[in-house]
Amino acid sequence: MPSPPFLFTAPPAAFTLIVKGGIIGLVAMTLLILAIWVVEMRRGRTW
Amino acid sequence: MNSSPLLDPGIAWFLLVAFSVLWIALGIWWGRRGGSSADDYLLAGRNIGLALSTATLMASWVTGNTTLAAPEVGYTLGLWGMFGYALAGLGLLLFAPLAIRIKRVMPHARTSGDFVRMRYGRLTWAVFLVITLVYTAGFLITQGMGAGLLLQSLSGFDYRVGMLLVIGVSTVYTLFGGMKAVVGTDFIQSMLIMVLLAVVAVLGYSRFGTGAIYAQLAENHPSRLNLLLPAGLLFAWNTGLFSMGEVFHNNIWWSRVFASRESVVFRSFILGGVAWVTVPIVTGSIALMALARDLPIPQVNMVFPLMTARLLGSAGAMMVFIIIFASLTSTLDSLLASTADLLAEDVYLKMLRPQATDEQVRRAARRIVVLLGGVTVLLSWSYITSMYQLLLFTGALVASTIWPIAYGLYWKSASRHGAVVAMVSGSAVGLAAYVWIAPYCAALLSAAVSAVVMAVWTHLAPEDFDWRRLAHH
Repeated sequence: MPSPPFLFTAPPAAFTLIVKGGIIGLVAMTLLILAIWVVEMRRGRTW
Repeated sequence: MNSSPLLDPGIAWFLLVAFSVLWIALGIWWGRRGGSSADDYLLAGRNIGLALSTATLMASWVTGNTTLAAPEVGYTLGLWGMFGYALAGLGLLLFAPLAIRIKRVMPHARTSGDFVRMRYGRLTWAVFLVITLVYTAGFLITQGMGAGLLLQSLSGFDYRVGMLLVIGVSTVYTLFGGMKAVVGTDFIQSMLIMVLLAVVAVLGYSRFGTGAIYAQLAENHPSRLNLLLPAGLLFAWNTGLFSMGEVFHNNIWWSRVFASRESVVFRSFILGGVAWVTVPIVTGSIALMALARDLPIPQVNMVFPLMTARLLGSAGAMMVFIIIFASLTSTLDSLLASTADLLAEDVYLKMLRPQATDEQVRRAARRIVVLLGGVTVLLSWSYITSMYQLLLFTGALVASTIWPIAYGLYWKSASRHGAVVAMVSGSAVGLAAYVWIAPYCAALLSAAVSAVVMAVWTHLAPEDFDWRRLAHH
């Protein structure tokens, strides 16, 4: 593959932040949606 | 096509039958528990809470493309491919303020077509319906084809058997349960997608380590770590605008606005968008793992299933099967329900049978769900084109609707003639760009032309719209 004209490589810390941030975000949003669902279910407000 | 399937066909059949029975049983159960009005069937009674609303938005936006094409662009373009795909979350995030505005100015409406007809008149409405129906057909085809290709690649199923099964199951439970079945199953499907995806990513990166993956990418594939990749930047811009066009105009999202309680509408679009953004980042990260490990990838859109199966063996293949099956059915059911809502309200009630009773509208919607399922099977019967190319083609059309809708919701002076000319000229320029420049430019130019036409026309010939007309639907 030919080299791109501009190469600004992400530093290792940025790569780790992106990957781990994505995974942590996914887990956090899953737990948040489940927690909201539990609260709404107890109040009879799911739908 | 694939001589050694990733998942044993017997296990694949077991999973397929088990989940199909579950979705259909839940669809019938929710259908029986729901009320008998057209609003109960089409909009789940207009009382959905925050958790279900967020989950249905997220699950509907996680399509077969998100789980197959997002890792593909991560693999081929690297970090900017992942970011670019993740920018499609902008569609949901930026629609949040519009959603609450829609809910407040027209609380009793049913469809996006209702807004365009009441705001801009019947000519613009007709053009809008053509655009949205072409887009919907393209979207349905990509999900139908995705279903056939997935089961073929994962488990060696015949393309048409897989496609028929997934479309058939989605159609049956949507038919019985309407929007309530769609939202309920979407909640379970979104949880399956998110939990299993997190498990795969955590196991993968804890086994190989982010440092080692980074080092291998930096040494062998440095362009994938490039933060100034021109193709990636162009891809990102186009994806962001395309997603705005998709969400702003399509009745999948408008029907969720009308179906949810007013107090949760804004927050559900924000939370759904944030949750969704993590999915292409995580699946793209898994694809980069495959690249760093030099995993042979004979078919690049299968990089996520191949890497997961390599990482976790048959358990991984089962997880992938469930994730992609859930992604496809959660999108197909939403498309079927919201398009049935659109056609029942805008075509059956407003064009063909203005005197139809509530029960007749409900019955028409059920017939339309079956009709749409059949049409999707027919259109997906042959694998005609790349799924993503087809979606980019429709992007040229839908991006032209962004500004007429956004202006129309906030500007009293937005011109009805400007709106129709903006949609037609934006679509024409977008299609020309798709053919003669590059597919990635289509949505970009379509949205730009439409914005300029709408703004200039409104400036030259402003109108004075009375918002109360929307409330009296």
